[in-house]
Amino acid sequence: MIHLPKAETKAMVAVHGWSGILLGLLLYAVVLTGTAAVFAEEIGAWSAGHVATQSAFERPMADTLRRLGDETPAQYREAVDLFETGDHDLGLFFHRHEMDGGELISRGLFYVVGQDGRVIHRQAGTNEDVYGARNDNALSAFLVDTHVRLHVPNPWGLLLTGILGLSMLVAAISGLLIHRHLFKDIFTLRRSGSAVLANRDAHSVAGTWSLPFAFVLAFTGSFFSFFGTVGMPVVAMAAFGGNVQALTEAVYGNPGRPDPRPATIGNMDRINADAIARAGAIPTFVTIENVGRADAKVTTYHPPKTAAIAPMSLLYDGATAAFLQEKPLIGPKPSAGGTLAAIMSPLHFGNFAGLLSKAIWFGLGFAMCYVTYTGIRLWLVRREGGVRSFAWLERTNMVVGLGLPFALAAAAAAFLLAMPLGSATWWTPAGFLVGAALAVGAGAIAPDAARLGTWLRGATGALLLLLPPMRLLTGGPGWSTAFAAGQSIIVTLDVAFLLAGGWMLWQLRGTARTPRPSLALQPAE
Amino acid sequence: MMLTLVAILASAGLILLLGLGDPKRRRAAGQGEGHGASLRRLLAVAALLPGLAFLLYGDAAAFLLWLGGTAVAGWGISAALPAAPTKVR
Repeated sequence: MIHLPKAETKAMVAVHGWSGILLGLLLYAVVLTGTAAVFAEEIGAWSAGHVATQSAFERPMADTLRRLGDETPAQYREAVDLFETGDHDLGLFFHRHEMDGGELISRGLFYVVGQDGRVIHRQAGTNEDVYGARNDNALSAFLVDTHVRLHVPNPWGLLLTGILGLSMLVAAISGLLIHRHLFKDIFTLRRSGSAVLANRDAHSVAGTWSLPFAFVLAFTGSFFSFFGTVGMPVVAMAAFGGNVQALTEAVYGNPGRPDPRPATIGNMDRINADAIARAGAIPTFVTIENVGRADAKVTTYHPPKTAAIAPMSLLYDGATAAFLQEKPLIGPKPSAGGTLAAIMSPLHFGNFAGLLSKAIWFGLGFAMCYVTYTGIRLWLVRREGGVRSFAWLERTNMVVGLGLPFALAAAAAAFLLAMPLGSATWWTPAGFLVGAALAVGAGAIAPDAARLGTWLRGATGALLLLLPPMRLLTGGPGWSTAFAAGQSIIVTLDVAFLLAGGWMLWQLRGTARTPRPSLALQPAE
Repeated sequence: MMLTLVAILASAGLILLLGLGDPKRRRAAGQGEGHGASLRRLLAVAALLPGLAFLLYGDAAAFLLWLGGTAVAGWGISAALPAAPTKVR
């Protein structure tokens, strides 16, 4: 492995430790919510009890699209986004692009078309209103928003998570440089030795196995955070006179001679059928530029094909519904930069091969959480008995490390209770805050760290066990209904919560039989 | 997908063998000597072969799944293998 001189190793240990201590707890929050958010789509279906099986893109929509296009004021027909919302309903957002305080936004009319083809919702607003949390997706939206920006307003939230991603990158690189026996120690977990050894082994073994993915997840996460907040404005300033809209059109748009002659939109049903046949998958998103003009263009976005990791996009002539080309993410022609940009999303979200890739990314995220938590514990136990007491930090680490899963479970419980009443967008974050306040309160009154850990583990385990019955009692579909509708994910998540809750409570039984002394709140002998 | 799962399981099986015979872990657990260096190298190369095959075949998705799945499995195996005997501080 890499052998640095002693002085440099010491400096690297300091960099590794302090980067973790200063930002470790926030990083833990981002990674834990990101781990849960890997299954955001599935959690959305589970929590809202979605049982529809036919995609909106498999149902006829051409006539509805034309009718709504005619009804919509011309100023909002610059583009329309088509996507699934709710339980496989069709969302159509007719909009125009405009700058708002230096930020490129979309403003227009949003329609939701139900499974019977009728408009069930109509709303004027911006992209933030349309793509923000709704009553039926409040839980998954809350998880994603916490992960993406910790609920801090943009751009500061994104900048914060970007910096956290960089700190994770620094910790991964410095960890690689200071670990002299990376492979020799990969199976050695001395759990019952000294507190330092036990924590060091737990931290380094999990860190070593997940090291390649620590780089990947940290880099791609930082990329997403800085792309819109720093990258786009800087490039726009350097090459487009500060015009972000012009940059966006140059990078993502479809170049061609403008043809503003009026033309009816081509048969969208034919485009959908052709796109599904070519990509082998239902579109995740569809955009139509220049709606109602002769130069209209339709782009369909699909998950990656078998053996590929980059998502697939297909371009159609909007007026004739003729297939034009497979479209790269960036620019009109395939390029290395376009491919690199396209694989950032699957590499970060693990959404390129269905549930298997998501399950693996969930496991890797869990490993990152464990590495972060044990890293902070290791830093603390190394300073046990020193001149300065870090008992408060040990307690804080435990409140965040074990209290955050409890608060997330409380948010899920609040969502299940509030969704039938239509107030889930308010109660989901409120439930999280109540859970967080209870965890902080427990941290303040617990006599020692061991007792605090027992309380938080017990409460989280009990709450996880309660989630499936709460879902059923608040009107969620039963297991037979879910199986009959082909939504086995609802049953899978029920079982996962029951197992996780049961496992946490079972662990406490073991702890009660063989009590362990607190590692940090009691002085080392 | 099934082939990828089989590849992950095969590599995980070889990692389990590596872990069971790991000299440092065995010494720490008071289980005596472990595998020799050549056997360990052979097992390690064999564990990497499925990933190499996916790379050569150009299957990026399967390679990533194998790499991530094997990493998670390796961590799980390390955590499940017998730990050191209890020491009294």
